[in-house]
Amino acid sequence: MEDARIEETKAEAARIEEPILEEERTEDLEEIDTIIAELEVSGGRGNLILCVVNAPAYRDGIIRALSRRFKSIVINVNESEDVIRSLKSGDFGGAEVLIWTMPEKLTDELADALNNFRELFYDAGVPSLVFSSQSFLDDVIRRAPDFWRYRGNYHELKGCDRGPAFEAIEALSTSLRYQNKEDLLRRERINEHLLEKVKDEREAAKILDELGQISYLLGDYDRASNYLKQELKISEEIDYKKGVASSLHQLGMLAQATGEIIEARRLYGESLKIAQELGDKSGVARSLHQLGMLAQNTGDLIEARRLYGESLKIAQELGDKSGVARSLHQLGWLAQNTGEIIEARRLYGESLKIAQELGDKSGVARSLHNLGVLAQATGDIVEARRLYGESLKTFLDLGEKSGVAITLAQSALLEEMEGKLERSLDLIREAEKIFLELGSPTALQARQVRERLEQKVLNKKMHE
Amino acid sequence: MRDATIKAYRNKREKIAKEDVESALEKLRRTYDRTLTEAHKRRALAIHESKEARDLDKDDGISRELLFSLTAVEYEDENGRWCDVDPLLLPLVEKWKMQE
Repeated sequence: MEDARIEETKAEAARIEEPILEEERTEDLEEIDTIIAELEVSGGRGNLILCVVNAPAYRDGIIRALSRRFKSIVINVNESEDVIRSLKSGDFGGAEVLIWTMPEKLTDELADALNNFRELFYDAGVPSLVFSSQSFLDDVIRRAPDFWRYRGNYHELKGCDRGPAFEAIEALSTSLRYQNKEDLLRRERINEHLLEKVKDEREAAKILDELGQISYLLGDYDRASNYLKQELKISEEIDYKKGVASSLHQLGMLAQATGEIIEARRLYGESLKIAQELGDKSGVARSLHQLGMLAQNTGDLIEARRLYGESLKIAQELGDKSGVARSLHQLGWLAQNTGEIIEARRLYGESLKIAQELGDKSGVARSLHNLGVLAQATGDIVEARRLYGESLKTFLDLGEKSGVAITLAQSALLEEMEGKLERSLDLIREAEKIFLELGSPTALQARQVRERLEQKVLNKKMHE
Repeated sequence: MRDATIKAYRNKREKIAKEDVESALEKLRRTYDRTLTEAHKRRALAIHESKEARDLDKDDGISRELLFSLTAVEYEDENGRWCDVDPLLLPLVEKWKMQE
């Protein structure tokens, strides 16, 4: 058995009183205890127990603990042949349990092998415990239903509670579209030049508006605030209501970015009122969108759905594809929030497609990031890493610091899932530095993750 | 049933308690709810209403997938053959209806 690793075990080991991992959750302990009871009951007979664990490092810890309890063979499955050969060989070296680890993707060949050879798991005369990620199991249910129906039981282990992930990046309602950081800096220089030359105050307000947006995207929030306050002042003086609404909206986004939720809500509310008075539907849609984000962030998901829905309807009526993509992205995040992974993936996918058509790189990067979060949440680590890589590259290219920081932070959690603690620590330190530069409230979350990782690295070194 | 039985055994109970069954059912419901697409859910609702599970054409495999994964099940009695959503998923049917 080439792919198998035989682990001698101490049969006299206690059930599970010893700690499995430093970070297991209480409900996981109960579930693991149930698995052990089930393996004991199955002793000497075939059984097929499926077990979902997303983080490979956590899975390996559980396997080590089980291997201390039962004499086990661990079969790492890479392709269908690994399943067929192992089961047909019938040589399990006197193992009490066959522990299988499935790959990240269910290929057609593997689905066929699981379906067609499912009975061999019972014929083996030894119980099988099959570990896979959630995304793999979801695929099994759809594409290898016979194998799924044949299971004796299945368990889901959540892994350690890392607190809220950095997760989704929101699609903000800005009107600025640009190619890369150089493009932004070039536009900044042109606008600064124009601002010096311009005589018309309304034009000055428009220039200040764009300068505010550029500084915001570059992560220079103080500078953005200065430009936008100037815009607001001029717009009020000349009674240019559209300028007032726009500056209030942008100032709301700044307040939101620095965690001043109540102030952000007030500013969006004022902006919305003016946009409604002016009949500026596009402005109304943007404010509703941002208010939806605030509702979502404060846990009012019903209100968030209503606001995104209204914003989407207006964007569709106006033929505003960018607005449609923005709303779909947020509805995707809402679905993700409520655990509807498939629906979230569909909505992000639609949003991504529109952003790609429009050449909206920022929108593309946001959708890719969030699709990465979904892949990570379902244990598809290779796909998550690919998506974060693409997203990070685009954010770096665009000079969008907040996007860079969030993607780095989320990548840190991904590396942690794989047990690559030092790499994870490097990434979260980098992310925390940027969050601090931005004055973002997420800096606190990054610090907590960094401290936890530092402790884990220390524990690891002590064990070594 | 196996899940509930093993939980009762682990908790050293001689009989399967209602909570053992409920927690096993809830776990299954969660899994099905997570894996079904919107199209699957819409079709499951249609099957629940019509008691029939038919694909629309040869390219449509949704009803077949629901039957294979035991989301929908087929019965045979004195009235002939008919289909419905697996009874364990009926609480989800109410949820899906509200989402429509």
